[in-house]
Amino acid sequence: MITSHYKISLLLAGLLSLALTLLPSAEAQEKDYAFYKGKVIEFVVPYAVGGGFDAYARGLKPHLENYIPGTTVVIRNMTGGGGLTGTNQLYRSKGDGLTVGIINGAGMVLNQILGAKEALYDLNKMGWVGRVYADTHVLAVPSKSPFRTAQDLKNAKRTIVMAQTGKGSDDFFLTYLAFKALGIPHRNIIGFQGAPEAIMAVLRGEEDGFMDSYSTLEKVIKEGEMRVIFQVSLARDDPRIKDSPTLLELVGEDAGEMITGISSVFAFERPIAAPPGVSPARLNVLREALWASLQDPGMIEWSKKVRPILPLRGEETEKLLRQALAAGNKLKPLLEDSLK
Amino acid sequence: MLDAALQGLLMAAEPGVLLYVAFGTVLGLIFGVIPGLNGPIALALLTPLTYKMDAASAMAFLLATYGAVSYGGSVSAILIGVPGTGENVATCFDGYEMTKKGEAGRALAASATASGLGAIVGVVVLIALLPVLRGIVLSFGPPEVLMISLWGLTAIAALGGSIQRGLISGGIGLLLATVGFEPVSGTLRYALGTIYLYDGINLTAALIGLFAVTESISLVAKGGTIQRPDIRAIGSVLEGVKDVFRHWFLFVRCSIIGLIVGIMPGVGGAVGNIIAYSHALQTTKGNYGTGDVRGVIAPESSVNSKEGGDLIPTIAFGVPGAASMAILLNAFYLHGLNPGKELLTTKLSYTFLMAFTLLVGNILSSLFGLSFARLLSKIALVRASVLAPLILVFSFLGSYGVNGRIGDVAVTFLFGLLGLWLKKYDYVRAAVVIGLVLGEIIERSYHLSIQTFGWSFLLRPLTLILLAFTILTLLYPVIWGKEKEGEA
Repeated sequence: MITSHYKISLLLAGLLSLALTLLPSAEAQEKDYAFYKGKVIEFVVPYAVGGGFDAYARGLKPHLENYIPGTTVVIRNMTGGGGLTGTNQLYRSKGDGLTVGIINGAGMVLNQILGAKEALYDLNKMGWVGRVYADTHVLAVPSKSPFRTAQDLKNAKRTIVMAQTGKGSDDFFLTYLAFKALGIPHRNIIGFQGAPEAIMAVLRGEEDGFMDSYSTLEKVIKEGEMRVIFQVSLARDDPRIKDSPTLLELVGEDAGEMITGISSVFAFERPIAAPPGVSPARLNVLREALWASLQDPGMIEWSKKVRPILPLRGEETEKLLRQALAAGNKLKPLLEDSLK
Repeated sequence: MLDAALQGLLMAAEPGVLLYVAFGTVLGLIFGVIPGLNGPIALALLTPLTYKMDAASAMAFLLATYGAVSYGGSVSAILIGVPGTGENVATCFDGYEMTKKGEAGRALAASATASGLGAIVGVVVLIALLPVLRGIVLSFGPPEVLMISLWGLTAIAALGGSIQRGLISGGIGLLLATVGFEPVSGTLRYALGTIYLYDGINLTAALIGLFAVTESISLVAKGGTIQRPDIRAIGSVLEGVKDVFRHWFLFVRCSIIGLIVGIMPGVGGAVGNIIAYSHALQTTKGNYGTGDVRGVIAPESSVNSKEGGDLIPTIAFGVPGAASMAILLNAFYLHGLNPGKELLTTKLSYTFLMAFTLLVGNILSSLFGLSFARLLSKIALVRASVLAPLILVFSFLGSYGVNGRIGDVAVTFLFGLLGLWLKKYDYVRAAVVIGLVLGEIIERSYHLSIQTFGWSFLLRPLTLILLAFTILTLLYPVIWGKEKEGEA
């Protein structure tokens, strides 16, 4: 009797603990698909029609509609303020799970850290649906440039001149931090309307180089017009640029923390966010749908032709945000310095 | 090369491809007519339609749409004084006045012919320059952009009744252009504490206000119809076609201006037609601003030749020459084409395909325009009490619809009031627009030139040539008394 009693209580305890361990995750996994039937999801793009952010939104639209049955995804381009208008708008939208948006993660992290008064959002409070893509950033110089390595840049008899789109833009901070880490003095030519104009100026020989994401530069690099000097990363993870040294290799472990910081901030790229207050049951639907969309053969086919993808789940994206904010806060004095 | 040309021609002549060209043309015209919708938006929205098409059809469809949008834009510029796209800003300066005078048909025909032939010039020059494309693209830097924009700016002095009024109006435009982030330091100017103004005044919203709103309100105030009631004619369509040939030299010059502006980096679509208009104004004697057909021919000949120019950096370096080009590039990748040097080598036939479709598309849209000119121009005879509210509704819808920002609606409204005020006191709205469009590009390219070269940028050969043009343009009326134009 005792033994069987014991067995039963053991069984009960086991079941209970099993239930207890399962319960929270079961709750977290709860998905309110029913809510989405016949609803319209607004997909906010803080940049103009035809740009990179817009391309992802339009590429994802049919798949999201497919994986959240009964919904229609409407893309809303809310341009302005270098992406601030759309991000603010997204933040202030109702947290009912019917609004999502693709944002310039690194740029918005930098704005928040520097306390830009126009940044009316708090990334910590937003819901993170996932990440579409994160790129490796590189320094590219014209193929005809006498500079072949970072050492050449260091040994240069004159100041290195770099093209930039605007003070406070992503490429501006990136250039400042990378050159600071390398200890190479440089001069900026600022004011190009966009990356294409900056690239053309470098090709005309007006500047020595330009720093941006590899995808932005990939075309001219593949055309043989430019080459990569180094990549801003901790390891040579990106299969497209295996031959280019990383900033960490060049600078050494001393500046490791700084480079980790830079790469953490810039790894938080192109995330998809929801406004604060979306219930877990709905956020889970969005997360599942985005993840499934990004694995869909159709989307993978699209990504091979139009824009690369590097998917990350919502939970991971949230972790990445914490890392980026922490790393960014450490870099704050440097970033503030660069704006002086 | 001939081989590739023939191959390209064969691809373009495929019935399926031709059908897509026609389809694209019609869609492009519709996008163009509606104020606020423009080429980049048309391309972005239509790209998904090409998913199932083969590469040649997709390319032809999108390029034809792209080419037709600007012609569609000139239709609304001429008939109701509302530039449908930024590329037709200057067309409404004289085109709308022609409509008022009862010459809508003639204006529409002139615009169709000039833009159709302009496309031919653009394409022919593009093909002729294929071997030397790279050198040409690399010779235009910020100093050249600065000089050509300054050249365009000189027009503000010549517009309108008096030099003073022209200069004041142009100055208002230049001042308005300074709103928002300063391009180099990122300092905010006159943003009035609202994020909306960070990117400056939205050109489309401002244009809709300055022209559509102002004109509909004055139309209601005046009553009657757009066209003067004593005139029932719409002008001869044939006359409009002939006009272009009558002013063939002006047409060629303006086509070349369009082409050069297209090649230049970072110069938006609104700039080319304004510089062409300004060039016409400065070098020929006429009654510009009061319905001179040359005021339609000049900007329209530049609009489509510019597209040939836009293709050049894309083909030579794989770097998009304009916003629309960036979207086109995306669509091309989607169809396995990799625009860039291979368009000069292994895929040369596709370059010809692109050239031929632009050509066919533009000729088609011109033919559409010509055949409907008579019908379309009847709009000018609709009573103000019916037409004006319709125009107003579409204006505000267009202004709001593009970006979905209420700020754009406010800009449209305020610029409508500004337009009324300017009109009442005989200031020149055209000059305001010229200042507004060129202000940003002048400031940006000036700073880039100084940062890159210091003042020695003035000694660059091409810069010197353009500077000489500007000075000559300014002195021309003084020295030659504007009589030796030989074109009127």
